[in-house]
Amino acid sequence: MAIDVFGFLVEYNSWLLSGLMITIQICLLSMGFGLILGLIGALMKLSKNPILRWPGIVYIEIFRSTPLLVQILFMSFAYPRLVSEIFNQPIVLGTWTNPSSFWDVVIVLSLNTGAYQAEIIRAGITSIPRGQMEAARAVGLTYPQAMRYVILPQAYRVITPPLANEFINLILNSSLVSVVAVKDLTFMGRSLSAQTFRTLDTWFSIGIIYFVLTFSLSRLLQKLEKKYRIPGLGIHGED
Amino acid sequence: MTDPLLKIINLRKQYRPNEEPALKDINMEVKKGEVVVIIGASGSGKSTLLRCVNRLVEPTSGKILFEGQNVLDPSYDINQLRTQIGMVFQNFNLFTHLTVMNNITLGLTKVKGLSVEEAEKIAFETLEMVDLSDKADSYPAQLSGGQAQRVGIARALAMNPKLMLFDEPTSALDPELVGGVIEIMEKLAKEHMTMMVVTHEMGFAKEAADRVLFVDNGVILEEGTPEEILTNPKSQRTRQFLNRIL
Ligand SMILES: Nc1ncnc2c1ncn2[C@@H]1O[C@H](COP(=O)(O)OP(=O)(O)OP(=O)(O)O)[C@@H](O)[C@H]1O
Ligand SMILES: [Mg+2]
Repeated sequence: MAIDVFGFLVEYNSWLLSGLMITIQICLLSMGFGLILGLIGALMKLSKNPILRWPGIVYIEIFRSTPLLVQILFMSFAYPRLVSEIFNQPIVLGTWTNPSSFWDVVIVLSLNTGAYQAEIIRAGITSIPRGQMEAARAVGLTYPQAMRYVILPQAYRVITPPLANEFINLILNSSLVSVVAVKDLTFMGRSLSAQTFRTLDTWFSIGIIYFVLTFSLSRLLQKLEKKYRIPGLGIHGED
Repeated sequence: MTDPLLKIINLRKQYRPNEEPALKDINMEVKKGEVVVIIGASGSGKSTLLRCVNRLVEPTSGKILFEGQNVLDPSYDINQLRTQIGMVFQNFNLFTHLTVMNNITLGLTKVKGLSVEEAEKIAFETLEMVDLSDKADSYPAQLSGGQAQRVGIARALAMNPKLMLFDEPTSALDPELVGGVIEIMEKLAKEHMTMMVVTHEMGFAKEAADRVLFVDNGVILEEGTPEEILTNPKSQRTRQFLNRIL
């Protein structure tokens, strides 16, 4: 049995790199959109107004209570059918760009991670003592100003670690998009393994690339977390 | 006869439908420059009363006239009202992520729209007044309770309010730190700041209060000068309460 992972990485670097680039693009876009959706979702769920609160709750629960793979398959196959039935038109696979479903999976991943991020952000906001909001309102800040200048900057520090975790999860979960023929890193693994018959080399390589990507990211995020600590606060408050 | 700065008429607050109201029928006024001390047992409604004044708590019914205008009118600008009413909290509620300086300047820059330089100049002056100009760059978690509360007072004062509300400003402090905070409040009283103070510091009430109100079960049971209330209360309830805390 011959294993030559290094040789494999060198030989097929352009394939692997193009898969990695797609994975990174999908994850960055989804994380960015997810953050916006998460913030909106969290604020909706926290709202006293039921017209805002209920759509927030429904959105979050739908995406947290169904498997991501099912959501991806739904978007790729069921959603186009749904649209064609409703508008009585022939089916177009790939909702936004035909035939690639790159944007389809970005949308699904954004909605999915957005729902998880909403819960993280909501928990972070509610962890800030009520007195902070009261003091902010008492000096005359409006509710949005109080959120922006007082609550969110504090919640931010509570939110970052679980959010970083969610980002790592997103990268790992994004490998599921290979089932709908998006040419991400895992998809490249599947085609390389089929074409070269070097199954071990392929999946060792793919695994190593994912590991290096997520591991270095989590170290980076830990560094950032340290940097934004509030002096005197928390159990590490030695300064 | 000057018009009162604050006039409260038939104020009622019920937090939950089937509970007894926290405030039943409050009528009172505070004149400009007056210091009113509010005493009463735990749960009697003192905080609720104070919080209705700057609308941190939404009253159920009644009127609150500030400089003659009903602040409960839907058209009344509530944030504008709050810039004119400073509030000091029992637990300080300093913004933990901001330095002492920025705790004070936040309202000045974001609400009053002052430039950073102007705001910092005012912040320095108020910090000097509470004797903490050396702590401008500290974070709240690096302060003692007494220092934190003095910053809390400075944060409210910097907005140049017409009325200051104090909700048990010293009851979270160690006994030896109470004096420093009381001293500042007495200084404010001497400078004719209009104040509503919920406190159990009877020394402050005797020294600085023009009037003392005894709140019991959501109503003002008795009101008068410090001597009248503290040394010669009319009602049995007031006497019982004073015996317990003195
Ligand atoms: N946010 C709230 N929701 C529901 N009920 C409340 C709320 N705040 C206060 N209450 C109730 O209203 C009543 C008056 O409370 P309040 O805090 O005004 O009393 P207090 O005189 O300030 O007491 P203390 O001396 O303990 O601070 C109490 O029965 C309390 O349980
Ligand atoms: Mg209270």
